[in-house]
Amino acid sequence: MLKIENLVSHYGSIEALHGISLQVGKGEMVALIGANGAGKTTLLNSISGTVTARGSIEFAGKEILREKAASIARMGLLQVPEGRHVFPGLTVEENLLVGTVAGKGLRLRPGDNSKELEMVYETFPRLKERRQQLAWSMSGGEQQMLAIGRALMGQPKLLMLDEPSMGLAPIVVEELFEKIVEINQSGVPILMVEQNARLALKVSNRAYILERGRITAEGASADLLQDPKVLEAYLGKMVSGKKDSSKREEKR
Amino acid sequence: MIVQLLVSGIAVGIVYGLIAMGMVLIFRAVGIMNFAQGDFLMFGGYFAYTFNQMLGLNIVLSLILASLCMGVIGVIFMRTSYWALRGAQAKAIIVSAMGASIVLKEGARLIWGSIPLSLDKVKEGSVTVAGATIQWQYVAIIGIALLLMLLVYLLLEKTFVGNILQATAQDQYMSSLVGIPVIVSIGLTFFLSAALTGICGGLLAPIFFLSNTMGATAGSKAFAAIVIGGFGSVPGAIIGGLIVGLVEQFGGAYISSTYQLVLIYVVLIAFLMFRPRGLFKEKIQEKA
Repeated sequence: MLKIENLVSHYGSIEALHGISLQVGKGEMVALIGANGAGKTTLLNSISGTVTARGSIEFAGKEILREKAASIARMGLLQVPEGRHVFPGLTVEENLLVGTVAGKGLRLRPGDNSKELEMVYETFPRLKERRQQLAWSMSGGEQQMLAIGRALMGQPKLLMLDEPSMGLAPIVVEELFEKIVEINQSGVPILMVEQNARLALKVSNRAYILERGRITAEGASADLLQDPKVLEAYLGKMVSGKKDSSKREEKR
Repeated sequence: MIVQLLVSGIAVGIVYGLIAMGMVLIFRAVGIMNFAQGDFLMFGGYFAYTFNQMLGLNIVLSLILASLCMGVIGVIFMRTSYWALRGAQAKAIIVSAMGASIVLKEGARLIWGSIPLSLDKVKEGSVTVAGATIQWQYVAIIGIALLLMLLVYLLLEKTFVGNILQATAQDQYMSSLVGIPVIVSIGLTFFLSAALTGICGGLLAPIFFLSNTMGATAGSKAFAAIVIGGFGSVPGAIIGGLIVGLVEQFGGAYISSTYQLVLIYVVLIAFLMFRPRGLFKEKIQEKA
């Protein structure tokens, strides 16, 4: 579905990504893990066209590097950005309807979206209860559900999730990830950026590890979970006898 | 006397409110106070004059045509004065809007000359209510302005297009991620804003006369209305406009017509001192 080769990206004069190659296949869930500032979000933004980059990004057999962000979204490559970015002054349902622009294009009337709405409300029943509420007034978890729901309204061919667990209580994260797995199993490939490395590796098929703008490891998620280097750097295991307290550990 | 002043105050005030609403639409969409908004009013007035006096069309039709022409000017303004600078600091865009304001002002003088002009009233004559003589034009202005406000409200709050415009105003980055071409959405907002303000020029012209400098005064009154009402709030802009209009009319009659503008600024300063956030809160608040 998505094939990235030798991607280089700049922020001003600083090179943030130094030649990234990455692939997401049909129906796959791929995790991208790495520390703060490694370039994970820059990579997603380069794919979605909101940051300019060099190299090659092929989506559904088409080169999209030079495409504008809005047209990439309308091709079905949808990003749920970090910090959720719900439209704060619109109601839940209005947020969802605006999400249909990606799948059905810009138009004067929304038309019939009951099928999409039903599907999203089935996945996230909480959104149905709150459909007349303004998005800014919802909790973080509900906003994350809305952000993902809005992307689903656009009939995604590939979904990119940026830090879906950020700022959420562990129990909410658990519920959310069940839904994310459900969405993936319904046939939508997912590329997920996640700081909670253990969780990301548990739910994904494959993973890439990004360090200072380079991919330093890749492979099946199950293998990476056993890799001592990964364990030490990202999973807070006491391999060297000292606990790394700077990494978040999944609380269970 | 009081009834007369009340009606004229409301009529003038609601027009200021309408101009202020146009400014707020742009402010919410791009985060910039458009200092050329008053000149949209002036230019719209001249368009109405052209259709009404030079081509001899009916005044209502002239107002509609003038409004559409101003919408197009608004889109051109967006493309030339805002779009290229959208990544730059706000002050760059403000300066470029001021430049556009000079272009519009001097352009109007080149095209229509500098002699004050007038055009037809929507309805001639007057009516006597409770001993007060009220010009029909004031009544017509109030009616038209209320209708326009209602239409804008319905468009923004009740339609899909309105949702898209609001979404773009609230988060441009996210709108492009759901596939909205931001330039189209922003362009439509500028169209709407300029069309609304343009029609006001044609409504005010029979009362104040049309001149190429009327934009600056009307623009500053609309700005005062926005500050009084609460920055970024549409209902606030309308109420603020009414306050400014009433202060102007009553102050002009009972205190001094020379100091009308000064009185407005006194009220403005009083609001800044005692209620600096204005009358209305924004719909979107920070979560505690």
